Formats: sequence, structure tokens, C-alpha cells
Amino acid sequence: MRRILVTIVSHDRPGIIHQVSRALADLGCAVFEVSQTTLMGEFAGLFSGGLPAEKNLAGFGDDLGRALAGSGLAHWVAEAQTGPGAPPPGEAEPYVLTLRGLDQGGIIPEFSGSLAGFEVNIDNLRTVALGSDGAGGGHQVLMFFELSVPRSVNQRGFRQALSLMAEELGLEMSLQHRNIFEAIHRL
Amino acid sequence: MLTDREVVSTLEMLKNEHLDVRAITLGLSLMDCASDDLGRLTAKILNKITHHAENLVRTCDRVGEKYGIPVVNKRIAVSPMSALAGPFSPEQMVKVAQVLDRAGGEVGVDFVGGFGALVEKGFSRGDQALIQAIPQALAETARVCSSVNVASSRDGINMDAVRLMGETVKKTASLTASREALGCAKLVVFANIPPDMPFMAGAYLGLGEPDAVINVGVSGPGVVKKALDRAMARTPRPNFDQVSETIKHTAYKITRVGELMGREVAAELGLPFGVVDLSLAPTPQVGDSVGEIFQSVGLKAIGAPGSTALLALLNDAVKKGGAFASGHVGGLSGAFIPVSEDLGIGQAVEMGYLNIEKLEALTAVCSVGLDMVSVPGDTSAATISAIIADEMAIGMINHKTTAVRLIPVPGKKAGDKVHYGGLLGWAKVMDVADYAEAADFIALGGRIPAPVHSLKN
Repeated sequence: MRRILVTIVSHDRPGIIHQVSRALADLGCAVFEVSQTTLMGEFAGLFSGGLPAEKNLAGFGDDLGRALAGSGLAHWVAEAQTGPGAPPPGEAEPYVLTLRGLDQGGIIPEFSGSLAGFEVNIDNLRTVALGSDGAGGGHQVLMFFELSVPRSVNQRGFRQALSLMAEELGLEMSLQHRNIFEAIHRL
Repeated sequence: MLTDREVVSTLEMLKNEHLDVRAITLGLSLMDCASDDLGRLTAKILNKITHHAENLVRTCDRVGEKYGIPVVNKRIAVSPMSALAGPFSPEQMVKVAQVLDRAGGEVGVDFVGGFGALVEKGFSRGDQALIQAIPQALAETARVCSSVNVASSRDGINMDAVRLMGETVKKTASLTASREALGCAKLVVFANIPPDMPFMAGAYLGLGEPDAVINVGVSGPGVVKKALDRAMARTPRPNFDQVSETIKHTAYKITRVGELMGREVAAELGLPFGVVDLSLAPTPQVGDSVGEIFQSVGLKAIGAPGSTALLALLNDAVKKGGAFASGHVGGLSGAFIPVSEDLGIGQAVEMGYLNIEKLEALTAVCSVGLDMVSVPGDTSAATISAIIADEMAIGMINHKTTAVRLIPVPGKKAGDKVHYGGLLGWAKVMDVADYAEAADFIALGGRIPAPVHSLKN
């Protein structure tokens, strides 16, 4: 069986999951995992699935296009990559990096670059607009990165590097082990 | 994945609501240090404390940094020193206190508790020597804390010990007069003292406890206040059932923090985890006050009519929410109402909403007692003993811990202000009904018998 990824993007509306899952099932694709999100009313979904080995990827993409024709759903089909990817659980610790301050260009590229330099994977990134600071100086933003930090990373150096960057950008920063959020909020 | 709400709520608890772990306390039995040779005893004590607590502060700081939640105080609670140093004189007991102080300094902890005695039924020779040594020991050390248990629900009240402790409080105040009687802030008289309490000044390690154990004291009055503020801002306003539920949910969250971090510290140190003490421990900062909670629910101030009812609800809800969040609960577990250490309570005293009599009534439903209460310096030892006796009676009859930490500040009279600094805060000296007849009453001595433990209808 070949592992594939199907990406769907569309304006959000009822029925998207039904249409996509129906089409995949009719085309003989077994769905293993689904992840979806919405942002500003737009839907993005990622379906991982398996195709029979004899199926041609390009042909499957064409078939899916025909099945979804007229639905307004943009789609991409790709072969799932194999390789090291994110650090496997057990070799990394889950941390949450939060940044709060004035929205400005460069926050995400600067921090993601630093994280990549430490071989830290970003498992999830959310940004939340907090509105104006009231002084006419721009918009406040809260960003939180869920991270997999390899155990081999020098914790002190990692924390200092992020703190320094946050200070340069005038941001409040915290770096906390994810367990504290789960302990507080989840049974 | 975490939700926005989970992340934002946690950050708010840390940044604006003063969430922290108030104390991680290493309970350490020193019973194996016992010796009838003072030099050997003190050498063993120093060795055991510095060996076992060597990494305590560093580990607490590292775990605090990992979770982004500070561990404010790191402390050590040891076996009751009167049992351990029984053969020694008061002067030699002072030397033991100095060694405890030195050991605490070497490992970098804030306080070492356990320079105390359990005398609810009577005194051993060591108990008497230790109580005599308390004033000098507290005057000559910075970190040593002392607690003396003079009553229990099972054994009644040792009124001879009550008399002695009134005098001891006065002597301690006198020897530390130049520091606003600060020695008295390190001295607590108890009924039903818990053997696993992580909070000072009362912490000691009971005789049934492990050789070494980590106990955690949580905090969080600011978090409870903000949760209640949010609940009260809703329309319609919550009823008392919903107020209780709000406190329970919040206490659960606070306790989970202590449980998680305490267990990790214990694991890193290779020690068993003991208990979480589910107490709302305030500080003299705005937004970190038990007293302010009373205003959030609509009272004029703590001390106003309705305060005892609300404190009963608060104390009970904290226990219920916290008990669900922790595997083992112990210590005091409830709400603290230390006058000088709590901005809202201090202000209520200053504004005249709270007097010592109402404070005593509140202690019948909260987790401690008359705590950090400054009284006029000329209050007689007998009146202090009588106040202790009243408070012990509340604990004895209600099967709960009560305690007295009174500070008769030399040279100060009712209405004067006293600044202790740091977490000890400031306070207005409270008026006390100090009658000469108290001396005759206290001089009766003997024991007040324990209550019956049946016939409860």
C-alpha cells in the first residue's frame, strides 16, 4: 500500500468532509488520519491515506479532481515522505513557547529560524490577535508555538537564545513544559 | 494540541494572578542523629541536612524554570528537636538551633522548622529545656522556626504549657525588640499540629513520617479572586452554589500545579512525595490576598458580617477542589488569614472592619488561627496565654488545627503600624482586652480535659 497525503482548501461550509471522504472511499483510498483547521473562514484539511500499490498517483489525482468537480474544493495529492521528520516521542520534550507583544513583521521568521537552529520542531503554531494597545501604537498579538525540544538540546542555552530574541523584539516570552498546561486544564 | 483558552488562561494565572508554588519543604528526620554528646549531635545534624538538602534549592529552581512557575520558598522541616536533644540544657539547645541555622544557610533554604516540642499532655525534660531556649534561639538565628503543640482533640489542653508559651512569646518579643519583635513571627503555638505541613513557621516532621520526604504548599488567592471576579461579572450573578463551584474548579487547577512540580522535585531528588497542602497562602501584594476575595463576593471587607460564612464556604471549597487534584493531601489545607502577610486583611484591620474577636471567630472555620497578629507591647503574658487558650479550645473542640502567632511589639500601642518587611508585610497593632484577672485564670494550670468523641448529636 502506498501512503499518500491529500490536502483540501476551500471556503468553509457544511459538507466538505462528507464530499472529500466520500470521494476518497469511492476511489479506493483508505483514510488513516485527518487534521483540519479553519482560519478567517477558510478551511484547510489534511487527509493521510493508503492507495493500493497498483494505483497510479497522477491518475488518482485526476480521478479525485473529477469527483470533486464543481465543489469549489482545491486539492493536492502527494506521496507521503519517509525519513526522520520530527523527533520521535521519547527523544524530545514537549514545550510551549509563548510570545506576547506588538505585532510586527519578523517575529515568526526570527523565532522559527532560531528553533530550527536548535533542531527543535514546531508541532503547532497559533497566533491570536489581541486588538489595539489603545495608544495608537499598533496591534498586540499572542503567539504560541508547541515544540518538540530534543533532549540533547542545552536547555539553558536554548532558553537564553529565545529570551534574547524576545528582548530585542520587545516581546514578553515564556517557555514552559507542556505538561503544566495539561495539568491545570485537563482531567 | 492546546487551545487558545488553555494557554491564555495559564499565562494570566502566572502574570496577573500571582500563581506560584509557595513552598517546597524537605521533611527530614533527624532522629538517627540523636546523641548524648552535644558535639556529636550537632555534627550529625549538620552532616545530614547538608547531605540531603544539597540539591534542594537547585532542583526546585530548575523545575520552576521548566514549568515557568516559581517555587517561592524552599524549606526544611526536621524532627521535633525536644525529642532529639532531650538530654541537653536550654543553653545547649540554643547551640543546636545555631547549627540548624548554619545548615540551612549552607544549603540556601529560607527557613528550617522543627525547633519545637509536642507537650499537649505534659513535658519531658527536653521539652522544658527547649521551650526555655526558644527566645534566645529565635533571637540569635535567622532561619530557625519554632512550633509548640500545647493541645489536641484527643488529649485536651495543657494549660501549664499555655502559660509557659505566653511567657515565651513575651520573652521572644523582648529579645528581638530592636527588630519589631520579629522573633515572634517565627514562633507558633498549635492545637492538633499536622506532622507534614510544609508552611512556616509551624512546619516540623512528625515521628510517623519517612526519613526524608518532599511536601508542597500551594498558593493562589489571587487566582481564586480573579475567577470569582469573572463569575460575579456575569449576568445573572452566581448564587452561593456557583461561587463554591468556581472556587473548587480553581483550587483544582492550583493544586495540580503543586502536585506536578512537587512530584518532579521529589523524583529528581530520589525522595518520596508526601503531600500537597491545599492552602490559599497570601502575600502582602495587591491581587494576592485572601481578604480581597471577600470584597469580590460583595462584602465590605473581611470582618464585616457574613465573613465567617464566606470563609467557611471558601475553606471547604478549596479542600474539595484540591483533594480531587492530589493523590495525597495534608498539612493545613484551607485558607490562611495572616493579618500582616495579607494586604486585604491588613487593610480591613486598619479601616476598623476586623478586630481580634472577629478574627478569632473566623479561625473557627479556616485552616489556621490567629496568625501574624500584632498586639500592644505591654500586653501581659497572661493575656497572651488566655488568647492562646481560647484558640486552642476552638481547635480541640472542632477537631481541627488552630494556631497562634502573636507579636507583642515592644513600645507599640494599639493603632500603631509595624513594618516587618518582605513576605511578612505590615500591620496595624490590634487592640486587646488586657485585664489583670487573666493572670489568676492562667495561674490555675493543669489540663483542660479532652472532649468526648461520641455523643455528637
